[in-house]
Amino acid sequence: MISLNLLQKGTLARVELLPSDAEARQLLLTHGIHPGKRIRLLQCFPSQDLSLITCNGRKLAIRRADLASIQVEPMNE
Amino acid sequence: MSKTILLAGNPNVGKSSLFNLLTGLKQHTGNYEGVTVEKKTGRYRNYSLIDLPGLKSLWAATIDEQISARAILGGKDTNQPVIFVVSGTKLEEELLLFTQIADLQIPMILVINFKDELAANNITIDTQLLSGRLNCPVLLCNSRNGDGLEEIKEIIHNNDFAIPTAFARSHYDDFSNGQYGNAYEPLIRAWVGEPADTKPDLAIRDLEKRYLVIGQLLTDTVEIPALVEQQERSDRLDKILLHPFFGTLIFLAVLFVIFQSIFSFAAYPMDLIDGTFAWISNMASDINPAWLGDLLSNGLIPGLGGILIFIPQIAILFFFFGLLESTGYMTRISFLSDNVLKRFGLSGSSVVPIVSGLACAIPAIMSVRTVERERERLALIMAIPFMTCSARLPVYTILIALIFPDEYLFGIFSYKGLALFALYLLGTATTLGAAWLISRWKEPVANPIWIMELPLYRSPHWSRVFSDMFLKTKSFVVGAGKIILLFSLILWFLSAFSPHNQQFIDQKVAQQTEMDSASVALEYSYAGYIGKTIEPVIAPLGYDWKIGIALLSSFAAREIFVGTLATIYSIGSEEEGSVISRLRSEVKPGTNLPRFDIATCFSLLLFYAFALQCMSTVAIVRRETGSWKWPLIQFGSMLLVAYFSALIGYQLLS
Repeated sequence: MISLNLLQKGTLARVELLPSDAEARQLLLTHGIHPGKRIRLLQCFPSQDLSLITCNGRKLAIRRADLASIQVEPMNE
Repeated sequence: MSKTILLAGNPNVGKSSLFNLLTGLKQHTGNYEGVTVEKKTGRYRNYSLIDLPGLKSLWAATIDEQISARAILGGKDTNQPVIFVVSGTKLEEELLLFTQIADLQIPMILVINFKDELAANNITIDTQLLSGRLNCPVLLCNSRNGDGLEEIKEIIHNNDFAIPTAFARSHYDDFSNGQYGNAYEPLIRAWVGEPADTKPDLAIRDLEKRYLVIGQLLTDTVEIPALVEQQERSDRLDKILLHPFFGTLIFLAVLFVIFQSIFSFAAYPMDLIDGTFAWISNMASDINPAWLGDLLSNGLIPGLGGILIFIPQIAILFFFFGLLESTGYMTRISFLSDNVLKRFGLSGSSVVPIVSGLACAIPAIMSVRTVERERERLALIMAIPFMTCSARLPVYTILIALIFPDEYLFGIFSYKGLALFALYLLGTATTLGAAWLISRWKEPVANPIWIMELPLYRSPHWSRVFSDMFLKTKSFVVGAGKIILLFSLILWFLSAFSPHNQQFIDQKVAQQTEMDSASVALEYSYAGYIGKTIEPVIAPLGYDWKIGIALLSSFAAREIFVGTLATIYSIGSEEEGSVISRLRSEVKPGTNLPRFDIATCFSLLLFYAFALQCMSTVAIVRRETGSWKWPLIQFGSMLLVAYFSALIGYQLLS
């Protein structure tokens, strides 16, 4: 299990753990990110400190620091 | 009494387009009581439809989500059914809210929008099976071309709404004290009624349970291929539009086109409105009795013209915003600017209101509604009036012309142009600084997680773009108009009436050789006396009572400053050249020193850069915040900043 920010670009993974902070956890859940969901790190924009992920057909922009709070298990496609 | 139907769903599911199809232009916008969230109501036959702001969950996280959730709960009390709209490509998350509303036992129908996209992306939905599982009608439609609309209308006419199956309600069953009860609705009501999330774990547990139920529900009813075609197209576009260099370049080009359009396209209708009102005002001056003619020609008509002249700029701005929003590009702009803005306690969502402030603070403040976080909304509303709006331009042009020569630095850069550019930079820097201060003061904690969905790119829905433009412009004219007219009347009264009788004024006119009768009358009007009363306060800034009157009158709208100076210094024409030459020739009484020297002009520039001299802005801030508290704090603090900056500027340079 690794933090989502350590996932290689383009790799598929399964969400294992969400952050313990309740507000962050609720926000991620309402955006469809919950344990068991498949997630893919689509692109990183280091100069903008943002990353793009896809989950359930939704493309989401998230700050890179926030990615570290999501634990995932990389998957083979 | 007509029956009310609520339209609910996640953001970006085409809910408003469906609302427009059903209601046409029989709709109006307003605000939910006491908050900045827009309330869109329309009529379809004898039904009243309310288009609720998009929300993701009844466990509301933002102020607009709370408003929607409260409206749904209020609707339950009065038996209002819900048309629940989803986009077929993201059913799992969108059904989350559906199950939450269903568990409140509210009659519903489920409308799956963007039927064309389902076919294009090989998504199959067994609507009959899904309808059976949900125990309520499930319809497919396309809000862009009206496909499937007749079926929705039929459901409404026949009142075929149905209370769906309960999904997670049983988890809240309560058999304590030997009696059956269910805690779900009371818990939701408590949550929605209380902004502070007292039991966040409750919401988290609820969401996790529902995802399990929805997963089972969709297993054999919906088939979504792994990669949908439309998403691939969006990904290709994002590679360019989100690129740190090319994406930023395209964004700047888009901004350039928008602001060029605002200034160039709006110029003709603005001139037409200006000319028409000047003509009407001129005609009205002949009306008898004379006081009525004066009231109309110098009070009401210019006051009304003062608001209507902004319509072209506002309409163009809202047209472009609608266009950017409906294509999905707006969120890409937010993405590109998030990194810079987060340093000031803002986020990418703030970029559009800030940039709009360069044109006019009014539509900019109205566009703050699209920003999700309340703290950020307030910071923007309070800071945006520092942006250099178009109304500051005539004042800056005159004052810069008085102190800067018509020469070029290195033979390329005009000194006047550089001075204007510096004032624009000052405005933007102050806006960001003020936003930073307010966001720190309002909530001195670290930024919460920021996550934003980037919707698929779609072709614009023109009818929605134009109807939104029309409704928002109308909302501005009606909302700000009432207050502007009132202030115009007060200003007219103060300038037109004097504590002295007409004989006294006539005597003063006869004694005066340097000023015309209008200027003498102004000197002995209530406004003139107020100017003289405030003279001791403004003298340290380098201003006399005449500049004081111009300052006071321009509190209605800063662009009035030039016109008032023109009147008070007895200039027949307001044409720019003649104002500048006359002001240049003015001397301080008893000296040969110029009245408008470098120190005074610099002091005035600073004053106008920081003071909130725009009644329309005060009115809009009052409307958007729902109270007088914020506009008064804003007005007072900006006045203090303006006063002390002008004071320091004058004292250093004089």
